[in-house]
Amino acid sequence: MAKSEKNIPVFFNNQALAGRLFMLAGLWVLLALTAGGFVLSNIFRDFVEENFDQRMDQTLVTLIGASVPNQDNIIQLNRPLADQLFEEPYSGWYWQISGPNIEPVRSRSLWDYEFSNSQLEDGDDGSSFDIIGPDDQELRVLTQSVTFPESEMEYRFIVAGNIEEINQQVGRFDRILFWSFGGLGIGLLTAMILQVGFGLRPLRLIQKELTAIRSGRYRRLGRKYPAEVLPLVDEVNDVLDYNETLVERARTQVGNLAHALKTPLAVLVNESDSSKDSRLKSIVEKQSHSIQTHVDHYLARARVMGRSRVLGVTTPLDPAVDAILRVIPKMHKNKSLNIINELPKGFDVFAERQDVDELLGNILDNAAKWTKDSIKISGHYELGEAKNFLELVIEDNGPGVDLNKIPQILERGKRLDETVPGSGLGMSIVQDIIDLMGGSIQLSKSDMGGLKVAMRIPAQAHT
Amino acid sequence: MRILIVEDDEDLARQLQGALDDAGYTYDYAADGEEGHFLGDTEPYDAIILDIGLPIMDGLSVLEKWRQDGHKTPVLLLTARDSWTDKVAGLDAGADDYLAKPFKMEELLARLRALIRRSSGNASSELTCGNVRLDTRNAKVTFDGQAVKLTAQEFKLLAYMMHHKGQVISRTELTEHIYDQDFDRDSNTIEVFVNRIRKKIDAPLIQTVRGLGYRLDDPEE
Repeated sequence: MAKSEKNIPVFFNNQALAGRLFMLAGLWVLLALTAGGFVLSNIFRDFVEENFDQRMDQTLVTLIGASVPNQDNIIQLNRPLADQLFEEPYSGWYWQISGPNIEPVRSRSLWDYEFSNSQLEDGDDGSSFDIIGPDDQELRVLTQSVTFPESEMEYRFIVAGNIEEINQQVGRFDRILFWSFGGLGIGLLTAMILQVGFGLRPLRLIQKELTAIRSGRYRRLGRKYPAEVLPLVDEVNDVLDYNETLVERARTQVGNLAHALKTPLAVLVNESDSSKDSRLKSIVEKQSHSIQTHVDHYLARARVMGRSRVLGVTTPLDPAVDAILRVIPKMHKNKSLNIINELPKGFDVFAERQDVDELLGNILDNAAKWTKDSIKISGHYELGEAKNFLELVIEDNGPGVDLNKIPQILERGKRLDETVPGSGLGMSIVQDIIDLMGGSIQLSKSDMGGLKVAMRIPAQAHT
Repeated sequence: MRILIVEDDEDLARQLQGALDDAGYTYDYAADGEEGHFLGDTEPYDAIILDIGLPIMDGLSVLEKWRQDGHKTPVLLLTARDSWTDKVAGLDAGADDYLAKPFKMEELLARLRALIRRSSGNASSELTCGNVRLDTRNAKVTFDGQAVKLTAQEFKLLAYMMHHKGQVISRTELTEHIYDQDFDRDSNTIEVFVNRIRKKIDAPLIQTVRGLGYRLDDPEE
């Protein structure tokens, strides 16, 4: 993952699957709740307005019913309207009865205000409309023109109510709506995060397992995944298999080529040895040695490079140790070797069997070559934070080495004593393998008198 | 000393034959595993040089079969594969030593000498019997400190007897170990060689055991 992407929380990163799912769902929830809220608010407003209009209509009917014109055509109420709001000045609820050429009759709440004809001329009887009334109040108005049988005059009955009352009710409803929908939205998004997190858990598990494969703890992905992810898991496992096959094939081919060169090389070296032409002899010897060096180098490289890509391999240590200890005495029959094996049993090391053989073979062969008569193998298991290690010690009672020359031992092709046969590659191969395993190696003087080789290699208790 | 070479590369086989010849060994040669196995199974050899990569039957299978059939002849494995995994496989199959290609002839001869010496129970590369010394490294024989000139066949006979000091060795056994399989064997020649050696080394070393063969006695033992 790029560094810049790392700082964005995963749920807001459109490059992340969780981010995409979350943002898309979030957008949908936001749209749905907003639209729903808008529709509900409007329905409620319509409902409140209808109620308001009904209340005004009721008042209008009551007002008309209580009105009686006298002989001067002045309207008089034969009973007061029950609602106290018509008595309080500027209460927001008003009525007025107007007629041509007469002083309009008004509710007490209008106080000194009078609805003029110009204010009302735009509105039709029977349907409500809005005007600005006393104290700059926004009013909703309902009018009705009535002609009484006693009088031939047409009166206009007017009832008005403060729109603020509607707005307050709708506002209160909108606030409730906002908080409840907000809460619902947050609830839905939280559920979404949990759902996405739960749904994508298998992917995080795959990541964990791949890390484990890289570090050599697993060889393949497990198969405890949901049906949708299993095909991906199978594909990854197939790629891992293919990779292993490919590396193995490449390594085998390099190995075959290198080994195929060795017989002709042996023939050339021996043929030139028996030649009387000293110049030819020296050239063939020099060039053959050069070819031999290249061959060994590429064999070693094929081994190291191949192994670093073949991941997740472990080898039980005991059979490897047993095999090498079985053959070492056969290879050193001129000595009667006393081999003390105090290595704890039951551990796996993170390397291929061939590498483990090479590691132990080279060190033990070296010990057998130099020891007086005894070789000791010991070790102990160490639990680490990320990895566990096996500390493996191989020491002998030979003459040992000059402590100053220790760094040279692990160098490629270096031989401290040219009189003892060997290519000088063994200990540098040991160093390569130790590096590959992610371990370390230390050479020092043993209490037994000879060389002490202490290795710390990643290992696990045998499962 | 009679050696079996099983090696499919003609040039290397020729070089091996030349080197063994020069060192005073008798040898037989097989170019594939099957023939090699047959020879090792039927002829008495003092040591076998066996290549691992062979046609028809690979060296390790040949070796395993010999060992299963109870043949104890020391075997030196020749191989291009010198990894420890291969060494373990080779030595587990019953090899006595393991030599990786390319190798120097001297190294091969030294290992071969050590194999033969160990299998006959001799610790040193210099064999002695009374005042006679035979150096297996350079095929030189001395008597009382003076070099003794022996022909190739005389040397082979003496060397075989010195490797098996104190044992009664039949004429047939001597014939088998100083001639290769193609030689027209006539055990009378053995008597001729024994007489010549007796003349060149003026000490009562080779005893005739009537009806059985010869025995090399060390007057100091």
